[in-house]
Amino acid sequence: MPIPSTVPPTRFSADAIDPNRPVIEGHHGAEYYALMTEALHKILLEKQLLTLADTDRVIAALEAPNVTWGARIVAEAWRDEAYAQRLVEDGSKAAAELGFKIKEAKLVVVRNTPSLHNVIVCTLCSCYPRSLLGQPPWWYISKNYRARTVREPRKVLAEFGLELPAEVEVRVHDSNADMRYLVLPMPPPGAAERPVEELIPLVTRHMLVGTAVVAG
Amino acid sequence: MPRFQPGDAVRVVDLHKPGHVRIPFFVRHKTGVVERHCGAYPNPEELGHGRPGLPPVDLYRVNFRQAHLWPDYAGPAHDTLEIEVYDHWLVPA
Amino acid sequence: MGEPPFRGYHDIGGLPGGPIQQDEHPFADWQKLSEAIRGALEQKDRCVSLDEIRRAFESFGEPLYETLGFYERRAEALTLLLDEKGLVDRAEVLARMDALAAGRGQRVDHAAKTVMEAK
Repeated sequence: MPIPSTVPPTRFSADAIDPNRPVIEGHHGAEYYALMTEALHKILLEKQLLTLADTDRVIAALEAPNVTWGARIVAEAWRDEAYAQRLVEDGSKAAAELGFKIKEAKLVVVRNTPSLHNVIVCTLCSCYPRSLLGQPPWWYISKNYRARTVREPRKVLAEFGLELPAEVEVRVHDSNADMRYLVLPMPPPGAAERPVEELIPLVTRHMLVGTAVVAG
Repeated sequence: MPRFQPGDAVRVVDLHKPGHVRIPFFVRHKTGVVERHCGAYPNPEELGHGRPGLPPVDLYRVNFRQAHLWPDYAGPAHDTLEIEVYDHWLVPA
Repeated sequence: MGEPPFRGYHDIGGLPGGPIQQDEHPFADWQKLSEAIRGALEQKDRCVSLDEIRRAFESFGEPLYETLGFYERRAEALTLLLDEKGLVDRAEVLARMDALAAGRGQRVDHAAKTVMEAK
């Protein structure tokens, strides 16, 4: 397949998309852009636009967050209904109570109930609460997930093994602007009486995005 | 004081704006209900071009019926979608 | 109305698609470095914002958007943006890539976005 050359970032396409044309899931260029990144980094260091400490610090901040941070918040909400309500009221503030600072945006927590299931997607790019959960999984940033989840959420969820009855409302959240989203899954039986350490491993990344529910 | 309150019916307009915008095509010309006011944020349409995007623009989360967004929607009528929309993309419905 | 609606090629919500690949991929070192360069420049001088990166990959052309993966798109956009701002000359970056590759017995095809063994 011929690879197009780069055009300068000055032109915009109007109505560029045929609405019946499937998305194209390209994964080309990893080796090339690894080399470009290395070259760019060296030049920025030489020009003293950055220091090695600058990028090391950001890399450490990128590596620290992970799913257990989100799971910790969920476990707390499962044990303490007052905390769950504060979390839904103001996600960023409630996360900060446990020491988690959401840096990139405001956190909105959406709560699953017996009659409502929430699922998160970002159709325009791949917005995700990275400062809480780390980098999103491969499937979340895929064009197929971005394109399809808003239009056929039940089909997408079924592909992830989650079949929801018609009585349950499926609510899709397109994370398109200044909020970042976290799903509060429904708890397993007896969660309120169990220690946090026992609950945390029960919470998966899929549950926090809404592509899975707690087993049982 | 935000222009819209939770529960208000709103319609998304198409500003025919070239360049970096955060309002996807699939909600344009669609009618929904304001779920909450999210606060006011610098306008990304300006930020995308290196400008400060001030004064901040009111941002709302708007709830839409899926069957309204997609005439061929396959799921039940109570399924919905929520998305953030900046004030200047909204008119009262 | 009369005017055509504006829809960028990145605005793919609702388009048909295929099965979602669910295999996991590690966060590669180069991807971390690329994200870290952007983050560090943003924190330091506020000279690169995420919305500018988005604007750059939303306007570098649909064929390239379709071809590249997520981190690759962002890496391309970062270099384009720094060039646009006059902070780094893109030609200098490409020349440095050639030099780095040559030192490893490799060569770069910038049109094909590949790195290969030099003959």
